[in-house]
Amino acid sequence: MKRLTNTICSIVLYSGLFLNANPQGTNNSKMILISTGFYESLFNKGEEQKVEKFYLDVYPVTNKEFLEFVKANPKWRKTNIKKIFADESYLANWKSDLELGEKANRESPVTYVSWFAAKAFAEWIGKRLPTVAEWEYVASASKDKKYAVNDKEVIKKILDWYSSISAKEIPPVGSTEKNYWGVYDMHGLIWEWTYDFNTSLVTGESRGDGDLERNIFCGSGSASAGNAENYPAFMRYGFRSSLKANYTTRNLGFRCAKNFK
Amino acid sequence: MNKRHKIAIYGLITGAALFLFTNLFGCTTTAEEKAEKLITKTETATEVKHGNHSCCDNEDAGEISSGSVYQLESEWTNQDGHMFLLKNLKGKKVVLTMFYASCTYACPILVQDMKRIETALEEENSISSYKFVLASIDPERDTPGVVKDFAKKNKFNLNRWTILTAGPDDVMELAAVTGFKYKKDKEGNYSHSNLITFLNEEGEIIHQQVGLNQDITNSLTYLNTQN
Amino acid sequence: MKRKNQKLAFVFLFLVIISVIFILLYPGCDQSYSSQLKGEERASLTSAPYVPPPILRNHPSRIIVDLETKEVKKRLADGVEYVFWTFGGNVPGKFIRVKEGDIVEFNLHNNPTSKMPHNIDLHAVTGPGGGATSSFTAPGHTSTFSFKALNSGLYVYHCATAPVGMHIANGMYGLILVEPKEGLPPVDREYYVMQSEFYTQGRYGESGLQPFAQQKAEDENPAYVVFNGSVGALTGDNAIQAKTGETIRLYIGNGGPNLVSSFHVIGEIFDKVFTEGGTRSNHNVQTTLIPAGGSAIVEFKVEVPGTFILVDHSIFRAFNKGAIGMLKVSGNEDLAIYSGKQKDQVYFGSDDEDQDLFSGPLNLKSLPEIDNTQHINNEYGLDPIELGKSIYTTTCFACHQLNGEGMPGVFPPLAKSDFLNKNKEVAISAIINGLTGEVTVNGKTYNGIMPPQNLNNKQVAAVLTYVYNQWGNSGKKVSEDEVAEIREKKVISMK
Repeated sequence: MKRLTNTICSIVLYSGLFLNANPQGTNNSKMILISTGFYESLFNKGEEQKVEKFYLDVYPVTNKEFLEFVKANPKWRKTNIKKIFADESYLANWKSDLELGEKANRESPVTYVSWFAAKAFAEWIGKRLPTVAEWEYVASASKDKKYAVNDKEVIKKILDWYSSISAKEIPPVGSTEKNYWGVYDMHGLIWEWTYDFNTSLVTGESRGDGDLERNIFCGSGSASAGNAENYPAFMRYGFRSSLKANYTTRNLGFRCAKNFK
Repeated sequence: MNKRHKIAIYGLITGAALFLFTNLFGCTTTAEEKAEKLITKTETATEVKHGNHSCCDNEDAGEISSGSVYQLESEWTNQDGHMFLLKNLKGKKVVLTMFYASCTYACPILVQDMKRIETALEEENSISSYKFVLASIDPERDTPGVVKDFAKKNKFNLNRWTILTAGPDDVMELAAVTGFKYKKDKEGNYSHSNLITFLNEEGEIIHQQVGLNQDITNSLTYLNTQN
Repeated sequence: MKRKNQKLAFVFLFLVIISVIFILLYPGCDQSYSSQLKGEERASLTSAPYVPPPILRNHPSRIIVDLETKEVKKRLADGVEYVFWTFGGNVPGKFIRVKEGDIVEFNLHNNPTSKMPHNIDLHAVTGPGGGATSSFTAPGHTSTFSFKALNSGLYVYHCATAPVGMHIANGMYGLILVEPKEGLPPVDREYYVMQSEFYTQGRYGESGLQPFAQQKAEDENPAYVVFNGSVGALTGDNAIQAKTGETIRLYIGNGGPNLVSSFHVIGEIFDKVFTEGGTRSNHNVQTTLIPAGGSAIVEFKVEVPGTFILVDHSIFRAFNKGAIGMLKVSGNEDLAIYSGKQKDQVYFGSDDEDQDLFSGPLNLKSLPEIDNTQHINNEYGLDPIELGKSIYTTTCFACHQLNGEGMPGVFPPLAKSDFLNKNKEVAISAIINGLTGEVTVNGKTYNGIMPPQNLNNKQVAAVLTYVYNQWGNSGKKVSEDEVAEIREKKVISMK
């Protein structure tokens, strides 16, 4: 009797898992373990921030993956999304709620998504967004070196992407370089959301960014942007400060991270 | 023609000429113009403008509007340790800021700024339609007990004032929605925006006041135009 | 009958006088300035080299400006492409024209295809960042802010998003004109010219899509210096036009990011220059400086036809980096002002040798000589003693000291020097050839090295004459010829 009950329970359980329309998403995307390290933050020149080991997606989240998410979560579909969570250009390049269409390649990174949408996806799939420190730490790597922020060639390559024209269509994930960690597309494909993007305490008047603007921000003066020798990081920092959580834009997507446990 | 006739004719001709010239060269006085629009120091970003058109959203008709902060379903705890949902604030206008109790520089000033607004609204007799909310960005240290002390010290009228705490992720979301920036430093203190956000009865952001010790006239005018 | 006509004439005259008085006193309320803000209009923005029409209203208004930032790939020079970051799709950005006292509602739109956030700092704005703090805009969004145009003038505007140098270097600048209350005097033609530099990885003219070169920008070493955003933007078919007799006003900006411009129009003189785009004007200026991030307004009348070249007179920029523009003036000649070439004939040179070969009608030797020697002899207008003194106090005093006292045991004195006064030739030689070995001066021995001095004959003569006439010396004079003779001999015995 007990065995029968167990079997029935198991069958019910497993079938439930299969049939459940809104479970946690299946975690198909590859992740790589990034070991503990130190990252010299853009603020407080010389101060090193410790980054505890964590998992990071090898690729940014694709249109295909995001489509699965909105299929399972109607409130995140284009026509249902609340204004507070994403602005009018949310998934602008998708044909409709559940159709990618020609302008959104399945294997290309999903863009025109807001911070809320990215966060919701990450949570649905049992992950989270990487922090700025984690993201920048991995971005400091070049193809062969763990830390290459002072490498002029690397800087030049990144700056070239920043100053190039927006591609008409964003190429598929994996199109750009694999770095030291085995992570693709940290540079040269899209800008990426981070969990604490709103830690950039900048007014928009970049020429005054040396000192924390005391009327607008409270806190120790070292929280503002330091000297910008790491040009690419400086530009990413600037880009992040122009964002609000519900913004969506053509070249901005995301990838997920996960705690080591 | 006698003399009188001549004078009359000269007078008529001169008069006619003057009349013609005044009309031709237009010495018309212009009507009074309306006063200049207020030039505000605060942001007039598009999402603030959009907040005012929430009438037309169809989703959740009668419920929470699409552009409302109350779409956030996070669970908060107030100073009495009771659970609090942001949508509990619906129906009143809200003056909101984020803070932390151990902040020694800006937060006391921000609180003062909010109190000045409270006083001004009391004088206008419109205080009953307002709630004042402080949300802590330091959930580790700002427990309900700490927050209750803070309320006592600042002599908040707890019928109007609510102090909220929640987990770090919920705090992050509320900050994200209001554009509030904050960053923890090594000593556990925070650098953060000095920002007071005003919500209408639906929970949509109608105005934000940036900075400390600000002239509250602009904010009050904004609030009044919402009536 | 006659009397009636007379009376009518008087009436007519009377009317005329009255109407004239009327017109003078009340020229029409529309022509006098009223400071009351009235009306609202959209600003009409233009691309260089054109400017929006002069503002006719005589009161401030509310002006709405819509300006879009867009990143575009375009021609920088023949065969050379560059990714420009622009205000309005072109470099330089759109020209904005408002009036003193206007309230400007500024909408900055960042095109969704942009990679970068952008903002704007208008030098005409009084307020934090010149608007930059209130216009920081992510791609696919719009920011709005308002400002009052308090000061008249011609102002630069540019993007101020970090890194500012890069945003400016990629083309994010333009001009905003705030007309004064009373407006600007009318001219026949107005044009918009903006100079700037581009820093490309490749050299000038190297073809292909050229990326931005950060190091060159830091070194202030541009590959291109151009007017209106590309090589040839103002030349050939793109030249600005005028007719003889017209007055032209150029609104000139300098977007930098680094260089200062020495702006000149070849063959023309600026009748009026509003230096730095401000209110004061200078007259009769050939070349005017335009600071980086600054402007100037120049006015001139074109009297003769032809092609007048606009240059940055730091001339290698004009001919090797692209800082060239053209103003083509058509119309009638005025030979009195400029005749063009009148004669073309053979010239036989002025050297004596050639005189044997050529005995034509023209050589300089056959022309009466103008005696300039008196003038030339007084170098800098100084007489030889003055000249000598100035040479002494720069060259000789270091060793022989200011009053010729020398340094005991090291440098012999020149004051009351028996050595000096004994032999003029030795003195001259010492200066020309140097002097080494033991010498006895005023009873003391010195054994040092005096190096030869790098002075020409005239200077040697002057300094020695000076020394001989100071400090109790013999009062001799030394002539250039004497010095020349010694220089020829090369070695003088000290005996």
